Amino acid sequence: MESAVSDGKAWIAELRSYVGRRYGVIHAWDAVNASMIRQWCEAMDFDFAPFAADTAADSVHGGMVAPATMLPVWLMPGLRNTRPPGSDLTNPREVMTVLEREGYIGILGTNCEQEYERYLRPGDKISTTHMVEAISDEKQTKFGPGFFITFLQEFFDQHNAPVGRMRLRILRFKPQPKVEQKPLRPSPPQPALSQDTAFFWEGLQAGKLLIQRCAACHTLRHPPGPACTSCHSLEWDTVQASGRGKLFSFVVMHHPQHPAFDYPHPVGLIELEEGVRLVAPLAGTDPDVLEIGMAMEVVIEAVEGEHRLPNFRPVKKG
Amino acid sequence: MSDFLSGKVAIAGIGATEFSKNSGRTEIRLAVEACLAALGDAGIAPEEVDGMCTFTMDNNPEMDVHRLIGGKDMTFFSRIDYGGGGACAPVLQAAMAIATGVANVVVCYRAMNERSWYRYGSGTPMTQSPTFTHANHYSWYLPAGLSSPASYVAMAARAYMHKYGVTSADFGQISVVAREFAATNPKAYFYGKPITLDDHQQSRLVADPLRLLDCCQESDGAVALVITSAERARSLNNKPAIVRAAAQGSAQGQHRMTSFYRNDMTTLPEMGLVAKQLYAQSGLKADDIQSAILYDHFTPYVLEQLEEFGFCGRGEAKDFVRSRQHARGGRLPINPNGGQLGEAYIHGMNGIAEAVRQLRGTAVNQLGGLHNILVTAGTGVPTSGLILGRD
Repeated sequence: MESAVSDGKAWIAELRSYVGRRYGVIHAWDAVNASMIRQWCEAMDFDFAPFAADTAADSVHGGMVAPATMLPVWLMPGLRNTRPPGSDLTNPREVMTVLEREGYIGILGTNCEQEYERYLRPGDKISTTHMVEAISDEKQTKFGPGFFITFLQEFFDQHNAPVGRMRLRILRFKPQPKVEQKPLRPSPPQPALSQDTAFFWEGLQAGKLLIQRCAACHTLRHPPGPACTSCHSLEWDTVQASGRGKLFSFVVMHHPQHPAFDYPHPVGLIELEEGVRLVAPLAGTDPDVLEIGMAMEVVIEAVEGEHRLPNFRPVKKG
Repeated sequence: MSDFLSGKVAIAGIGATEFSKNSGRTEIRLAVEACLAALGDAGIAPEEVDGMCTFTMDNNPEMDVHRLIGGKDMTFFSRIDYGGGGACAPVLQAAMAIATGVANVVVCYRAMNERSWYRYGSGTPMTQSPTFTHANHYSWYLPAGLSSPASYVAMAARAYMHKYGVTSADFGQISVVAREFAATNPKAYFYGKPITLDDHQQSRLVADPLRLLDCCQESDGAVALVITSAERARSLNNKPAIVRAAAQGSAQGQHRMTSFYRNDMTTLPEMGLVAKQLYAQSGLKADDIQSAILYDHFTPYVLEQLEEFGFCGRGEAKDFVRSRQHARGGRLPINPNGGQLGEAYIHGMNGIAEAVRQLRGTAVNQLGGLHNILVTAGTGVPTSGLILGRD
């Protein structure tokens, strides 16, 4: 997608003025030589043996040649970033300063292509010229709006005959601030489930409010436990509660807050009509209408992949 | 009156660091400072300490603190669970160890950077490991959004208010008196900062019906106590604070902060159990107690404690505090150091130290005519208590 926004701006014309601009000759520090070839092979973890002078003599090349992809290496400025005498010292990538000034500070190399006219041999003395070959229109990229700049670098030998060329395409972009998306409401704190309690949570996921019941004396108990505190039997089953009860007490939480809830957040102690009490959220109810003793009913909200205590709300009058 | 423990041991030394919101040093250093200060106060050399007792929530092992103060052999070490509910229980443990000859000099301590390193008030973190009974317990509350000590107390407080016509302003009376005492205690965090009942009523809701000023502070600091036989204590630097009685209590239907399933949610039966034992052991009754350090992490439970110990009838604590019977000059001045609302929250241990100072006659807010003072521990959990008396 092309942006209309950049059209007609003065700096765009300035940017475009770089297209086709050529930069002068830059000379190589060293002639093509065996030791740099060997060191490059070592650095690149490249097998040097086929290039070595004695084996290469018997090859199709009839002597030592430099690996083709080394082409730009001969023109590297070195650690001190300097050029041999007679080189053009103008920065061939000065177009970048325009983009940086305009806020296109992101940089990403996108692709690099090389073409070769011939193999280089020890003794060849290489030079290069640079040119800004193309600047794209402003593009919307996933990194932000930006321009693709294509640099053409051409290489020549000591006879000024072309030996190869390289195109480097670079994206300069304006990094975009991340769009703040309202996060999905996180789950409430999740319970620990044990062999003694899992039935309760699994029941809720099936839409049922289950209460533990002693299998021997039928006493109900909540929170669940391994044995009946009345008759001490370890056997138990469950009954499904009607979901009706009354508000035994309640708290309206202000602090601390959990992002799962809206605040002020009411929480009730519900006495179920079966006789046991449980703590339950009262989300969605105006805390001002709550009164101890009022009739309440359950609203079980089963949410995939998470556990929730059942929500209760006042029973509508009439 | 039972003679197995009452009158046999005494608190012979007290020590503390300053109370702050950021101690700037390690908890173990606070522990060491307080223990050395308490031993110095008692006039007992660290080499003589053969027992150490603290809270399970304390991060400083007995072994380490004992070694670091220069202790040698230790024959007794123990810890008490349930947070502030344990406050008086280390003294009970020490007293039993000394009364039975298991140990001779026991140091009880509590050291924490509960404000600068972590905060209990910010809620219980949920761990989902079902292997912890703890995690299973909190599974009935945290998923509902009930997560802080204040929130659990608030649930019980609402039922108490409803049953007895208690108001938020009644809770405020506890805060106001605590801050009156703190205002004249230079060691209190709220020294020079009294509040009015209106300040209390205007303070923000934390867990309605609890307001910010119903909740104690969060503090950094340490307190240590030196316990030894009454006989030995009489030969030392200070007037001994005699342990007339010491008791623990956990009652039917007990849960950690959430005993919401008892028929009556407006009482503290675990504290009633402590009261019964303390009176039986000491042979004393409510009328024999002139002041009390009542654990005041949250104001509503201070009212309920007055009822459990029989300083007033059920539901009458609101009248007791409305007439300022708990203030300076009242029937039962409580927490004359400013309590945990006003002085500092060191899990109740600073209150025990204040009781000792009151009995010695060296407190900044010294009360007159004092013979016996009650000290209680955290409420809403299995708890403990002491009656300390003049020799």
